[in-house]
Amino acid sequence: MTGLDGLSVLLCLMGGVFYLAGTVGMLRFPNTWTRLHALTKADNLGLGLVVAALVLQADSLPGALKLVLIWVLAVLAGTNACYLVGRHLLAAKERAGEGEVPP
Amino acid sequence: MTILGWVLDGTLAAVLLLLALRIIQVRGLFQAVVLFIAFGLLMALAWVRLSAPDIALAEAGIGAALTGVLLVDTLHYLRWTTEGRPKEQESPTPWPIRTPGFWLRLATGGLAAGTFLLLVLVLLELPGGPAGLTSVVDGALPGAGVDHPVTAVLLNFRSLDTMLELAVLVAAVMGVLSVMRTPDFSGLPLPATADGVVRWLLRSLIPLMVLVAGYLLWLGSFAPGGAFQSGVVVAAMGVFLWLSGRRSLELLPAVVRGTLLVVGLSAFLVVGAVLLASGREFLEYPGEAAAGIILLLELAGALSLGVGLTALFVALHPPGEGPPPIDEHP
Repeated sequence: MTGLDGLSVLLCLMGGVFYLAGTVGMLRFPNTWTRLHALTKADNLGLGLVVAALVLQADSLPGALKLVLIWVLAVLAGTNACYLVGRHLLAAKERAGEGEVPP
Repeated sequence: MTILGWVLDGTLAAVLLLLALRIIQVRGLFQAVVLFIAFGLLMALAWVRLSAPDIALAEAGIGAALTGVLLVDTLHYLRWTTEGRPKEQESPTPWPIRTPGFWLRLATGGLAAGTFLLLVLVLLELPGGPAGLTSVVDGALPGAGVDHPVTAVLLNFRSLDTMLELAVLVAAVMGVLSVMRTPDFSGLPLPATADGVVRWLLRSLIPLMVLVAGYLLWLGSFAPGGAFQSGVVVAAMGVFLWLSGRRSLELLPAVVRGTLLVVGLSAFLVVGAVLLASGREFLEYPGEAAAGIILLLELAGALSLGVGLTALFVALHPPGEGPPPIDEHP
C-alpha cells in the first residue's frame, strides 16, 4: 500500500466520522433547525472528504473533475434544500402563531 | 466475494425488506412517501451491487426521484382536498383487521403474494448457467454500432421492445391529456414564483442539466447511459421549472409539443419502414449505418421521454384551482 492509498483510507474514514456525527445529530438534536444544521454541515464535509479520497484514486483528470463536480452539486442541492425546509418551517410557525426564533 | 461484500449485500437486502415493511405499516402518508424515496435510492444501490449500473441510473431517476416528486405533489393535493373534512379512522390501529377497507387490503395483499409466488416459479424454471446470453451478445457486439452491450441490446438487438416502451409512454400521456380539462395546457396554475435563492439555483442548474442530458445520451454508446437516463434528466428539468413557477412545456405551440411527444416512436417506425423498403427486416440495421441510426433513435427517444414525463407531471394539475403554494413566507 502506497502513501497515496493510506491518505485515501484516512480521508475516507474521516468522511465516515462526519457522516456518523451528522446521523447522530439528526437523531438526537431537539428541533428541526438544529437537525438541519447537523445534516447539511456534516454531509457536505463527509462527502467532501470521501470525494477527496476518491480523487486521489482517480485514473484521469476528467474522472477526478467529475468527482469534484458531484460534490459541488451535492453541496448546492443540500444547502438549498436546507434553506427551503427552514423557510417553510418558519412560515408554518408564523401562520400557527408560534414565534419560535431559530437559534 | 469477500466477507465485506457479503456483509454489505446482506445489510442492503435486510434494510430493503425492513423499509418495504415500514412503508406499508407506517401511519402517516408523508412518512410513507419519504420512506418510498429512500427505498428507491437503496434499490438503485442494490442494482449497482448486481453490476447493473444502467438499471441503477434509471431506478434512481424514475423510481426514486420522479415518482417521489409525483407522490409528494399528490400528497399536497390530497391534504388540500380533504382539509376541514372529518378525518377517517384517526384512532391508531396497530394492524388493520376490522378497519374500513380490510377486505380490499387483503385482496391487494393476496394479489401481491400470488404475483410474488408466480415470479419465484418463473425464476426456478429459467435455464441454468451463469452466463445467460452474455456470450451471444458479446459475439454480436462488433457489428452493433455501439460498444456498450446494454445499449446494443436496447437499441439494436431488441429495439422492437424499446419502441414498444416508447409507445406505452405515448399512450399513457395521451390518456392523461384526454381526461384533463384543458388539453391545450392553457390556464394551468403555477406554484408561486420561487424566491431569489431558488431562482439563482435554477439559473445555475438548468444549463448544467442540459449538458448532463446530452452527456448521458452520448455516453450510452460506450458506457452506462442512453436515452432513458437522458430523458429523465430532461423531465427533471421540466418538473424543476414548473415547481419554481416557470412555464416550460406550456410555452411551446401545441404542434411542437405533440411532435416532441411522438418523435421517439415515429423515429423507430420511420427507420423500420425505410429498412423494410430496402429489403431488410424491420429495424435490422446495416452494420455501417448502425451507429448513426442508434444515436438518432436515442436522441428522438430522449426528447419524447423528457417531454412525455414532464407532460404527465404538469398536466395532472387541474386548471384554475389548486392548493395554495406550500410556502407563503414573504
